Amino acid sequence: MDNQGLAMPVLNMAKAINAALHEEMERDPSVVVLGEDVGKRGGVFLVTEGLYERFGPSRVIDTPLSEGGIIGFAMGMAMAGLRPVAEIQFVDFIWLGADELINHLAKLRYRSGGNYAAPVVVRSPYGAGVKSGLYHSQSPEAHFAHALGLKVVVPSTPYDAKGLLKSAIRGNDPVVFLEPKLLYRAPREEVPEGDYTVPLGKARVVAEGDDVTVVTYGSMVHRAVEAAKRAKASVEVIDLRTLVPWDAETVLKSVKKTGRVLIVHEAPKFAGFGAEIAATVAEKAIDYLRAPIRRVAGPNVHQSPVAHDELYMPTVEKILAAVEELMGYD
Amino acid sequence: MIEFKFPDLGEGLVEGEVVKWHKREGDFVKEGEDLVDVMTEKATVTLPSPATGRIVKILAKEGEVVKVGQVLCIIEEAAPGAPVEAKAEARPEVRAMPAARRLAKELGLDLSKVAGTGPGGVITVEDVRRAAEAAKRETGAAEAKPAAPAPPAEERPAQPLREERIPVRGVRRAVAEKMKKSKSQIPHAYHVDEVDVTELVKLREKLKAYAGDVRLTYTPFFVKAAVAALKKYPLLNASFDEERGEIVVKKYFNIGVAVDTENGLVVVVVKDADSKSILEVARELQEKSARAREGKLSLDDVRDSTFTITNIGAIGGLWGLAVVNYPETAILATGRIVKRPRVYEGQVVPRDVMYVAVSFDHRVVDGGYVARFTNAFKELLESPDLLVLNL
Amino acid sequence: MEVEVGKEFPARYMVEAREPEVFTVLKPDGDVVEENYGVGYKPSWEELVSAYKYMVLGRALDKYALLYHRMGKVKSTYAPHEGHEAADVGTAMALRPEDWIAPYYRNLTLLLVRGVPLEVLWAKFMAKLGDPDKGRNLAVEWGGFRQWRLLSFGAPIGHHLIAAAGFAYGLRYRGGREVVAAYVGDGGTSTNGFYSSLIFSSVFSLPVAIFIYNNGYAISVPSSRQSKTKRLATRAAGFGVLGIAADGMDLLATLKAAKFAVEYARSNGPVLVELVTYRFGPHTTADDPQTKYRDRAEVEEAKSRDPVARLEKFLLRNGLLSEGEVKSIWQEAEERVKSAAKQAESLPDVPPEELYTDMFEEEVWITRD
Repeated sequence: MDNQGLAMPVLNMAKAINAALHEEMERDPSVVVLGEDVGKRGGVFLVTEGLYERFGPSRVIDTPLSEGGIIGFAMGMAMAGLRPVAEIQFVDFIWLGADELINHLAKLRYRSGGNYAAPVVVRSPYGAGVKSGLYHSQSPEAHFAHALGLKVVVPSTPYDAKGLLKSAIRGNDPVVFLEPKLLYRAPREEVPEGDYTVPLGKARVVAEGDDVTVVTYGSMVHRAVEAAKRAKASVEVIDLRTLVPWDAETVLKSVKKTGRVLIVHEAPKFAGFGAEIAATVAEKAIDYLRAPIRRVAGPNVHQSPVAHDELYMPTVEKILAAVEELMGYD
Repeated sequence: MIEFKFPDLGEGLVEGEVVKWHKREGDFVKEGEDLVDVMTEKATVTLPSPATGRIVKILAKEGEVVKVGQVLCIIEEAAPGAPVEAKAEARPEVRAMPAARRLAKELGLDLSKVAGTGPGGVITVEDVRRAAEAAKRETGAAEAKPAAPAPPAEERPAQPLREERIPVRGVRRAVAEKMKKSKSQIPHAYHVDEVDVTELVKLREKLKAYAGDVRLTYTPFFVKAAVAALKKYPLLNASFDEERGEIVVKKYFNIGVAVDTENGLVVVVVKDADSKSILEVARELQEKSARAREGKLSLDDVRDSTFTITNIGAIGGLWGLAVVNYPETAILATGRIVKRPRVYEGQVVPRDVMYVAVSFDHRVVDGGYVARFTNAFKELLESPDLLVLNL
Repeated sequence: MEVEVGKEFPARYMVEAREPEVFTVLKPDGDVVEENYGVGYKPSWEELVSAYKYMVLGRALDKYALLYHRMGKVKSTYAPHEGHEAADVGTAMALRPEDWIAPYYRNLTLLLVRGVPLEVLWAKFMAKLGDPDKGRNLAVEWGGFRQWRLLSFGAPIGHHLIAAAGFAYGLRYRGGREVVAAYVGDGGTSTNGFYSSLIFSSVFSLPVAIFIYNNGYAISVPSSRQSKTKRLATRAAGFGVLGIAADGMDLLATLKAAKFAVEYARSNGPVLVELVTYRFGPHTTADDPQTKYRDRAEVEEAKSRDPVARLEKFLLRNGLLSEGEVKSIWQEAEERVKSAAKQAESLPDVPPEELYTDMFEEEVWITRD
């Protein structure tokens, strides 16, 4: 129990998301869940477990095998006043619904002159590190960010996952909610039972420091924190949590303090989201930089071949090496 | 009002020392009139006034080191007319991190004076801080401010002075930097040999009478012999371009000759020595040496040498290993000519001998090459009639 | 090796497409097909005259839209729909006021019947303030016409069909009985959106009526390239839903077929209605079919079955309209269209500020960075 008398079960991210869905569906009858295998099976990662039994087939829908169908259908539902939470079983499959996602869901409010909104949450497991090859490992957040009309959220902890998903569901904008599958089962932490939200668009300073600012999100946050502990330098770690819109204010404040920036993400470096952060830092804080802006990211090959899955991901060592390199510019 | 900035005199010169102002604050000056003498690494240059008017403020004091582009004084123009602006500043390329640049600007520090210790020699924030501290200490020592910070640890007023501090300025400073640069950039190697100059001595004795009012020393002979030998061994008439990884072989022969002056060593340059006769070389050297001693050399007199000769032996000593005149590849040092017993045609007889020492850039050539060059040089001095073939 | 169906392998284990006939009522000369005249819905005389007026208005609007496009007053690509008037009016009349529509880009007269004012349409064509879409879309991309129960349409065709299915689900979820009528051309039936829409609608038994305007061409590609079957209604069988084929240039046939289909959808689930029609003009103002891919003779033949002329002849034949009345209907239509256009011209332009609005519910810093 925490000091507010709220129960504080220890949950992993999958269970925390599950709790959010249960609570939101209970709270608001217009919230529905749809996707492949989300109903009777409870989802291939069991993230939607128990919803079907509790809320029934009209609210927890096992859809035909069509990602374009799922996203387009969800958009229509939302236009009619529902709040659909659509699951794409692996984000790698979202491309089958690219038109519905990028051309329509992202643009609906704008193209309708504000007359239509589509409060759809598209939630999907992403990321490598689980030896699942090129079609169960992608980290395509940069593509979604560039659609401009989608909010993009990437939690790194169970606590954040629950709170962010609630905010996403309650907002009236389409959200792509990317769940790092590497972190589904572990780590676990105390997650308050009951209602709370984590605001979109706000980063979290996970570790404070004076020498180097590490900006990261999702599966890389824990590695960055580990590196911060082991580094000789004083490292500040910022978990963005939301990519669109990202909390540039917090990041720039930190950069002005440390003068050294390291961006870490598992997605390939080239044209990745880190490039946007780097460009913004250069635009708005260049004369605070004591060292070049560095990115530690996945290699510029397809994410991620089974045999090289571990080689692919940025490791604590790689992050430490980069920190040291930046400290060479005293 | 116009700012008179220290103009870019070219040849990579970045700074100079203000030696003498010809005018004082408040004086009137005409455009083109001599205004201030500035001593650079190579020579002392007299800068003309860019405009006609009154000097309202002199910003660079005598003895102060100024950078190219720095404002020396401010002139209030008397007559209307386009002010003669100093040439566009040529700022040397300085690599510094953005925060370091900003800090330097805030502290009023010149980045080109800051040593960079970051990767690749880039200037870091700490480098700027260190430079700022050093500058503070320096100005603290040079200007006795009443509110000066605590005296440095070396000074202990209670004890009598055990050391004297001499500021390194002017030519001494220039020479010091040059020597350091040459030795740190060029891997020196040496070749020493003895030359039998008995025939040369006789020849010069004979020719003195035909030289007119030109004082004929041995140097012009050395110059011509060197040119002939360089033609056969051109790599010693070159420069090593580290950045591009190329050896730049010069097709022209500007022979530098070191001249000792009151203020220090100066190298005067005989341009295109290959096209000048020994007499012409002698005349030129005489004239330039005189001006060197008077401190009246122009930049042109001292720049662009491709190979240098220096006479070590004038005061004493057998031979000496000179420092290559950066960015050349070799320097030839000649020792004193003395009479010594030598074996000549089977007999021990007195001969005039002289040591030569060639210091060279081992990146460009190896010992064997230099030995062959020296042999060629030697040959011409030992049988000076061979010089006639090179006229 | 020749395979005779039923002989080498029993027919009862196989399925083949069955092509339906095309339901017609009105003949080009204004006469009727007796056995079909009494089928299904029987419109009143008033309804038929009203239908005719709408068709004329639609045609007039189309004429001036094209003209003004050439004059630079219509600011973006316009898709002329001459030839589609009966399909638009017939299907519109079959819908109840509470029903919703997912239009595509060639449904101009449909919008008129559903109450979208001429002034609003002109504001849209001219990209002026008063356009619900704030001048952001092409002249025929109905982005935000929610007020008239139109779902949102953007050029990549197909998505609107699956969205229509989702919308229908939402309507049912909230306890309503509305139908969603979705429109698409023959080309659009090849898209993923069409396919997924029929899958989702059929397995969830949603009240969706998809009207396929088969005018024989998807820009320049003939409908034979979209399907091996001659009739597109045939597709319905594959999804286990009802399919109907009717003459889209015949107001009566369209109305009767549509009325049946809409009510069927309301109670049973999805229905596919193929309306066979023709597009007299080019695909859009950026196209030129006459010289490149369509036969002049073919166009002339289609024009001989002009839907407006057909209904006109029927009405004249049956004394529901006089020649004089016909004339004044046309005149009035043109005047209405022109004066609405003039009004719209004096509207202010969409201010530049609107470039940045409506990206999200609340503006984010990124939008103006």
